[in-house]
Amino acid sequence: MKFSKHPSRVEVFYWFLKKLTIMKLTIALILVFNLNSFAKTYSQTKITLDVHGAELKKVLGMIEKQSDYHFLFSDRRLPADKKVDISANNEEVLKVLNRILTDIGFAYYQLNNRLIVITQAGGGEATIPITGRVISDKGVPLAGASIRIKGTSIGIATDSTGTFSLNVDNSDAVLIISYLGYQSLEVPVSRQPMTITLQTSLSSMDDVVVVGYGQQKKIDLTGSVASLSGDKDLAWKPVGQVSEALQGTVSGVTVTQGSGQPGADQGTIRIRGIGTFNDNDPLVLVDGVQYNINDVDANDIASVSVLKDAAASAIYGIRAANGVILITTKRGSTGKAKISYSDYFGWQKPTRLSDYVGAQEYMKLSNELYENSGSAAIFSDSVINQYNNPGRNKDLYPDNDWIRLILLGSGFQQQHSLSLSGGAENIKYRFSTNYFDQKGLIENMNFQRLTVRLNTDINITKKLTFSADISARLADQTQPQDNGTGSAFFQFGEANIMNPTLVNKYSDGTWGIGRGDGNPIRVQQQGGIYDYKSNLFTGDFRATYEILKGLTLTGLAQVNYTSDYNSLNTVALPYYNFFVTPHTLLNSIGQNTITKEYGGAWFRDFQGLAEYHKEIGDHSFKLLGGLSSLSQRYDSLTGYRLNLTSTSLTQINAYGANGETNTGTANEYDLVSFFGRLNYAYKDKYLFEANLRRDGSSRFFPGQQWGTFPSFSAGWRISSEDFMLNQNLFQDLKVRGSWGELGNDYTLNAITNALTNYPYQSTYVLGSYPFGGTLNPTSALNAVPNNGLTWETTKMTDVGVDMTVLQKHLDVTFDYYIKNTDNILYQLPIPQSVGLNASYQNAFSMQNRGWELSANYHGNAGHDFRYNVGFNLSDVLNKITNMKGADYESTNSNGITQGWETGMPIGAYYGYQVQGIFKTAADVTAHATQPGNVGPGDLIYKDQNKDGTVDNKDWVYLGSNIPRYTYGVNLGASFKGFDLSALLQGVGKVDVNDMIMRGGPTSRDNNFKNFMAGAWTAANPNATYPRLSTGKQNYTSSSFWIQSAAYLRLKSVQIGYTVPAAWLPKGSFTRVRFYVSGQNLFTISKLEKDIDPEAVNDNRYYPQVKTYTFGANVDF
Amino acid sequence: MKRLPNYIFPIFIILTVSCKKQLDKQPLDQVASTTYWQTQADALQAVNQCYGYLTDIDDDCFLSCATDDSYAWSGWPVDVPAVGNGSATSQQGMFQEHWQHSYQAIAAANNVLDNIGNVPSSALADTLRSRYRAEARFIRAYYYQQLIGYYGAVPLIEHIQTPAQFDVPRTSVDTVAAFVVSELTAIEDSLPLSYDAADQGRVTRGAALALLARIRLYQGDYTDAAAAAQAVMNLGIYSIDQGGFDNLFSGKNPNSPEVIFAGQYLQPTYASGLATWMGGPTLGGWSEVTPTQKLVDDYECTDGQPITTSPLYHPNHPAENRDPRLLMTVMMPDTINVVNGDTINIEAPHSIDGLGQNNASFTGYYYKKYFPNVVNGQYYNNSFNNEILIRYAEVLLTYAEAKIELGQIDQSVYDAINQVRQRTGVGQPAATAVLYPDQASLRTLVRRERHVEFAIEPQRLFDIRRWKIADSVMTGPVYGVLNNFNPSRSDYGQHIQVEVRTFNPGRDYLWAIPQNELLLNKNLTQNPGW
Repeated sequence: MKFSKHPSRVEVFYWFLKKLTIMKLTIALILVFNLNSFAKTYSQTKITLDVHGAELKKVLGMIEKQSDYHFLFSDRRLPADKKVDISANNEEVLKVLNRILTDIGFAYYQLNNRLIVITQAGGGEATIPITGRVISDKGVPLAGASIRIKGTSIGIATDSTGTFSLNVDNSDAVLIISYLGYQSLEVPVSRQPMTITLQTSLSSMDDVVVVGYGQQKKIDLTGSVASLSGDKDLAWKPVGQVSEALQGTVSGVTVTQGSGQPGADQGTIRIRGIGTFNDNDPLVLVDGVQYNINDVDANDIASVSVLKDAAASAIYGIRAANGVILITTKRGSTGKAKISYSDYFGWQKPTRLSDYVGAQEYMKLSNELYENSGSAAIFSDSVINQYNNPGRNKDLYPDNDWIRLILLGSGFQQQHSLSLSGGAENIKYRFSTNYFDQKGLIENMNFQRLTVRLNTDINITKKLTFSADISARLADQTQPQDNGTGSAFFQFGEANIMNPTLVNKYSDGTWGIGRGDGNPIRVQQQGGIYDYKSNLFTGDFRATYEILKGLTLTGLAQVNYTSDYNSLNTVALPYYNFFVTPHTLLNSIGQNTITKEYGGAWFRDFQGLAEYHKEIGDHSFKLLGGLSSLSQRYDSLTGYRLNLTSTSLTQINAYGANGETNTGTANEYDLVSFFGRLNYAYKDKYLFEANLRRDGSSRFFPGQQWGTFPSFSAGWRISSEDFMLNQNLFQDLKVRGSWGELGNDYTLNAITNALTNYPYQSTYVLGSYPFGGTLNPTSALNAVPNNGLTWETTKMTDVGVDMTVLQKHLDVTFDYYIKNTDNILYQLPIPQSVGLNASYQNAFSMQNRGWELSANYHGNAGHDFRYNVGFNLSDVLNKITNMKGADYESTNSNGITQGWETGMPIGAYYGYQVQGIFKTAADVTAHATQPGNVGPGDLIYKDQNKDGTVDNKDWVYLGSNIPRYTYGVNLGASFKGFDLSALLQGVGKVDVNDMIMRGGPTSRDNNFKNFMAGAWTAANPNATYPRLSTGKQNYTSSSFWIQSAAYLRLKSVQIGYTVPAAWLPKGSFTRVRFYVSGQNLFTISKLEKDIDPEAVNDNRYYPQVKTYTFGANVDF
Repeated sequence: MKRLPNYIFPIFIILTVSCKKQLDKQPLDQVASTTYWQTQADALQAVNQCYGYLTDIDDDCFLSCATDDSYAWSGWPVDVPAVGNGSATSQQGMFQEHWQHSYQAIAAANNVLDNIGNVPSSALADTLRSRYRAEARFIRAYYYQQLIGYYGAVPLIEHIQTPAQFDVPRTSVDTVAAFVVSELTAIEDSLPLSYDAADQGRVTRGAALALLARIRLYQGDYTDAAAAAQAVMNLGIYSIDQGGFDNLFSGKNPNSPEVIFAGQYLQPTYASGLATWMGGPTLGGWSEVTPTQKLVDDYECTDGQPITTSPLYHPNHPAENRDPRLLMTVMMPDTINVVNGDTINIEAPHSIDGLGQNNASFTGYYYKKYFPNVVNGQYYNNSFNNEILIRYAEVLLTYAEAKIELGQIDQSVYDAINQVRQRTGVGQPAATAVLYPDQASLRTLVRRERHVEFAIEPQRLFDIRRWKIADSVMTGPVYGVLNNFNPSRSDYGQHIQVEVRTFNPGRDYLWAIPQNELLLNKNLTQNPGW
């Protein structure tokens, strides 16, 4: 297979045409669907009436029946004797209402949605008629905006043309005009027709925020919830995964991205630190249903809520201990069909690559390495001197910079996104599709994803609504074959250790064999392909019925099916001896094999919800009760064929049963939950919320399956108190506090890190062993059983302040929290002399304490220049509070020692304190005995306990890899048609052990970085880097390798230009915008320049990438 | 639709029905321990599990790099170079690896012994039950024998432990050895002399006796060692293989009468990574386990004399006139080495197996012994030759050594040694009372014989330790091949020097108890010097 490296302009144009054709077809389909099915629905906002001498109450009742408006009025105040004459033919309700009420001296104002309050106009004494029109800052009339006379409850709403009329009783009256999403405005009345322009809301104070199983106004929140807008905060970034787009946007949420590999570049999300030894990923719900955050298209996201404290997330019980992310997708709205199309094209480059020495220096350093270690120099001067001759025979004396040679992929990426939305009175729809195509830095290491989503809302009756959302995600990731270590690891791992004297291709085109395991460049171009196809299909169906006024029931059924199909083909690649004519076979690397892996995961969730809302005077109550039944099942099947006679066919049946094997397994999980919530508010000043959830999990032994998780929170809106009425400092001020308990039943195997669905069980694992030339079954007792296993619980206390100041230009939120996790489920290490795997225990306790600050400023300078600055900063201090006496340190296979010690952060670095470098043999003898063959040039380790021997008793705490002071700065600005968005993101304090990156090779089967030429030698006794040596005495955990990985990164930046509407042909586009953007453009960090601070520990993985993109947004 | 919608309610009903049953989920591909131990198959499979630990050649072949046999250039996977050259610390992976592996095998055996009594007698015949028990007890004894050799005193664990019992202190070497002896003695009669073809590879009575001979020899109980070895010899079912010393190890002759006990491999499904560790680039390997000059020099010349005294020895052509086992064990320069049809020639210019080539041997030598005759592909885990754990040659040399140490030098001693060194295809001159008249000269002979006969086999580490010869064999520079063919290297004309070893006699005769283990078991003590 051959891929062109860069799509030509013709290809891009073709792509665009193809997309347009698909778009047209889709629109046609949706229209047909609409017309046929829903032609006969009645209008919700227009009515036809013809009554004479009817009672007002009766007329209002008739309007209620025809429309979906509801009226609130006091029977006592609505006189029965006032008769109404009205005739209207398919007229706007509000217009008709205006006519009825003005005639009889009444007025109305509209509450949220379609609730209308009827009152006497101006207390019956209204005299001055006022008319006006409310428009948005873009000149669009605002229908349904609320007009209220200040100091009274008299009000009215604008009609569909944005106009209103009402009577005021004196000329000093002031009107308060408000509309959701816009800044409220107070204007003195005028006898002339008024034109009132509302500015888009600057403050999030007016926002409605999605919370667990519902919505709340932001000002009413008592828990810690951060919210984001899909368009403003996420979709503009040129990244393939939503988790990446989340980075730097929310205080208390840390996202780290370990790899830039297409399809494997998901960020790791941590909300308020690391709370457990198990899985720390937050629960992600898309429209109320569990999801992988990266399976949703950022362009489909309307809003994101991050539930950070126990009060906000307790309604999700055991699944919420790591925080909850609620994603709400965009839905259709009534009106003409709207089409939006956007795309971009971009190119990726690695952020950082290591600089290695050239061949000549490599040979000198290799000699130094071995001479330092009791062995002889390997390369003679005559060979080294060959490299002084530029015309040398390069078949014999090559000089290659492998890490740069392997970057043969184009790094081209493109995204196309199309949406179509609209609706009639009783049906609304939004269809969207997105195609993402990312070519890697390595040839054939690519990712493609297609997502499709259709969200529909149907009003079956006025009281019964139904929504059906279906979506699909088809992902296809490819990689060149590897040697069992992972393809990116093979490519980058080999390239980072292959030395410059290895040949890529000889002068006649014969491939070099690399380090003996094959040439990664050849593998990219001629090896087999690993193809990972993952398809996700989801259906989300819900019906809501308003059983009584204020009481609704919701039934929800949600089914996801993920189907993974991996096709892994490897081919044997023969290598030949160039130096023999004819070339003889040196070795054939790899085998001709096929592996097919199928995995299918079903996820089913059925929920029932009841909500009740009641206001009694100044008391407002909201009650929610629900139950949920969730089940998961995963099945897998793998087939394998070896010794294929050819590689042209890639299916199993194409070959005989030679060396075939197959494996298969399945596992299940069930969770049953009951939950409830009470919200109480008094005068919107005193807010109280309580949650209770009871969960039963199949992951525990019967008898220990059920856990109960309560939470309580309260808020005080100080700004609504009377004594705050006359101050001008705070437009909103609220203090809140919460306490709650959460659980976790999600256990990870300590060795494989895989989810364990049966942690309490001790099982016999079946295997095999050969006797007499045949495999016989074996079964091994797996672990010491622990029937007492039960829930891991997290208790979190949070206090917070929300304020809006500077005339609503600045929103500030601050939170302080303490999060204690107890009974952490863990395979506590046991002595290996037990001979069995450790069983899960309710082992440890851990604490996270932290604070979060976020501030968002919105401003404008003059009419055209608007800007906003968002800043978030958070800190978290992690410590283990109880290890049940099992404190331990452990050294991993890379020689890095980490500790699990009471009072210290989890996994903190331990090791020797380095005091410098030995300069002479006398220095070595004078110092305490160190492990290994120590000589001049080696690191000096401090003998902490002064016992004359440096050993593990001299280990000290060296630092923690848990990031502190993570921050993000979001900048936005617009001037006329231009707009700018930028995100800076960073970490203030974090330690890394960079021994893998900075440590020297211990054999010449590796490469030397440029700086290693400055390593200690007798001739360079003041060097700061220890001598090169094949021993590991310097490559053990010590303070020498601990460095600060604090950084600041320009994560994303975008500059756009919107073409003025006047330039667009009439009746075609409504908006056209072009933009350029970049990702990871620059980074400030004290680490060596080849170490990426976000992915420090290894250069054997796919590097982070910087991306430059060009794109367009078009609306029809 | 004026009234309540009827279809809302079924959803609620579905949700509330039988939560209890819904939450009862059992593993789908593993058997819960609560329902095990009902049938003969349950018992047999648990016994079979004990054998699974025997196929550990990846670790065992690296063991030779901690002796004077071999050199490993890479610390991957278990840091063996540091163990070989004396720079190891108690965190070394190798110490951890052998500790963990041995105790896993012991736990598998303890699991059988603790539970096999639960299988109803209607399901499992008594004779079979006692054989199963004996198999498990043998494997447990085998690993305790290995453990005391590596670490000295170790925790003696005879049952599956509960968490309260985890912190076991060490038991002295003598007590553990006595336990091994009593176990082997106790099970001898429950084991058959041989098995049907389908059960080849199981523990036999001969294996129990041979292991008994070994542990008694290692413990210096020479009288009983000789008696146990004699008992094996008296069984009359084992003999020195006459089908070729090399075929014994390459996998061509798995059922040789010389093999007493072996870890079993099976093509193509049950494989090891041996070829990857031992093979050179042409064979698709990484040359991690390579012979040293020290091993090469220990082979006699064809006249039966060591190279120091033999007139047949040519320092510039060391492959000539040597004990044929040298060329069956080591691929030498100056000779044509053909393995599985591939020619390995380190002297040819640009040979990928040559000095300094990637993945090529650092000593210049490669092992031929144990290189599998079938390798599927080049990558890791494609070798299928059995790992011989006990063979008849060891029994004969144990007999000889025990008798020599006892001073009971008679013809049976010479016969035993000669059977080994005069096998078909080897045919070294016979050791006679004339050439080796006394205990001292015989001791030298039998030790040399063990070294060259058992190269890369696990005995060497224990031999160095019990003979206390590390001062002479584990210190100083380690040399490789004589480089008289590659002038581009600075060591042209000399033996390659690969490293310098040190040995601390106060410490290195025992390995360290793994550091992580000491942190977890508070009752454990460290060996001196670590």
